[in-house]
Amino acid sequence: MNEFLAMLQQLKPHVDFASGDDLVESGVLDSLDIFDIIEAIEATYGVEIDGEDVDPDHFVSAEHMWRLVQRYLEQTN
Amino acid sequence: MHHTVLDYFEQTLRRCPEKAAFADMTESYSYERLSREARAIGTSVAGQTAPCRPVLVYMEKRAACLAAFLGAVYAGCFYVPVDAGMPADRVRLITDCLDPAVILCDADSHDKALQLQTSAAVLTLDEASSVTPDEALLTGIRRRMKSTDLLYVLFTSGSTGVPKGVTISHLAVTDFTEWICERYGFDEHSSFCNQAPFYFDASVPDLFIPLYTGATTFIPPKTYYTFPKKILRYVAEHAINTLIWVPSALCNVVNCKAFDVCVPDCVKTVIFCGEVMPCKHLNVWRKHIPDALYVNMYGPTEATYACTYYEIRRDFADDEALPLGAACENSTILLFENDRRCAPGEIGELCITGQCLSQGYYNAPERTAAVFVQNPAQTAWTETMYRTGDLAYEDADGNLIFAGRKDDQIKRLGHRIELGEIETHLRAAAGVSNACCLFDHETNDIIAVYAGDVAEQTLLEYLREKLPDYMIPTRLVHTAVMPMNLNGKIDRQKLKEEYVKGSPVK
Repeated sequence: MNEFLAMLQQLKPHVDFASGDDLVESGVLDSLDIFDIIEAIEATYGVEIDGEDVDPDHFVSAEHMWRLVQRYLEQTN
Repeated sequence: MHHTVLDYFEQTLRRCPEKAAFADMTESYSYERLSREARAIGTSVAGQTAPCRPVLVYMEKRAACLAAFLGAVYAGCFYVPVDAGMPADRVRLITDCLDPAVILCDADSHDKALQLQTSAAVLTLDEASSVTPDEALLTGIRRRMKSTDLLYVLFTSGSTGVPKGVTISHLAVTDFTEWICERYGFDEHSSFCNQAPFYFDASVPDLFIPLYTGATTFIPPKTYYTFPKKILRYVAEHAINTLIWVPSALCNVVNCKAFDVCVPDCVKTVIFCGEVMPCKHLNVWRKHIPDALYVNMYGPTEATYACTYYEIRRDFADDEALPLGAACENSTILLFENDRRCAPGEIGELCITGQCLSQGYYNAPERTAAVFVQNPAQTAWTETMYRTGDLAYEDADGNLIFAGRKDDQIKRLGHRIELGEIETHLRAAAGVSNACCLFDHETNDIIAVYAGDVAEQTLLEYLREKLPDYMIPTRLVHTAVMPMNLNGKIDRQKLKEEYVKGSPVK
């Protein structure tokens, strides 16, 4: 999780991932940000995120995003 | 005779009063309701100001905005949309330029509107629409209105740090609306899915095509576009047949693999404008919805949404560039190298003449005179020509092909941005000694390089107070020494080599 957080923070320095728990509804993350995060996840963890999972519920906070990543990692293992 | 958009609107109103004109997630405005509220708001606004004055509509995007816009018009005034989420400092630059007569807001934006401390009367939509329309007053105002009166003013980024207010007349909009409706057969069966903010000219067709035809425009929440499967499902649920979006929104559907979740084959026409549409992404749309007609349009805010169009009727390779196409009806495109017309194939500045043109920047005669000029090829009479700053050439088929910008204007999420405007704010920040903004065309990143003794986070927070989200740099980079060239200017080339990965578009 710490490495994941560091990756996000480096990718989007302007976003407070450590404590941000309403990144979607508050409008902090726009469509470019979401796509950048998906691309970074796919490149870092070697997974492919389904269109169905590009859902606000999975991007509310770093914690939620990490849970999504873990689910994909479990599927591939 | 049709002088104003109100004449179109009332004709449609008589034809289909009960039909939905605009619908967001919570409210639906039939033509009848829109008319009733707009005439009430018009009566309220007219009680505060003489005609031909600016009415700021300061609220978040929703269907009720249309009642406010038309209300301003019924009062003989013109509307200026400003989103309630826009930083207060930028709104203040806009109100300083406009000196609005009236500010229309809603309960959510009321406090913000009062904090602007302008001399304008501040009215909430609820109070403005609750009065009984004064038909005699409205008829009197109406009799004096003419087609060259202003309909709206939209503010775009300006390199000096002060946004420019683009004025657009009724005639420019009715002329464009008639053309696009005839060309693509829009009628009361057409439906649109609004994507662009109302302060951005990419929303102009969504607003005025319904008034002319009896069509319906749906207004989904902005986050649906951030998570594209939601927007595709929304389009399918409402059986929407026409999308007029910026390319970024279409690309995001592809990037997020939303077609794996839903393919809205109810879509018959897809029009895009505002920035370059990559064929790689367009081809994915064409694969999933092959029967739709795709149209690439081009035009600055100063030319009322669009002044050229290209209908995609052949296959394009992923790395091919889409042509801008040919001039829309009733406008002419000229290519100039300074004051000399370009030969076919030669790159020149794209210039526009015709009914679509703005009547200049509001309260800014010098900025207007710099780009709204006499057509140098016309020496016998007065013909205004707008110099876009975009470069283009004509190919062997007579289609215009985009060839970049003359200056530092860029496009991000379809919004046009002058890097100079961001630089002006950076340099004005406490602790910053010098600053330069760069754009990475490959990643769509704005990179701000600055010298001085202020922390990146502090500077970022400062910019957030000054600029809308789409203008906030993706990266802030501190440098000990700003590189200068021999002319004593910032060496942009050197900075680009150091900080920008993607090469600029040709």
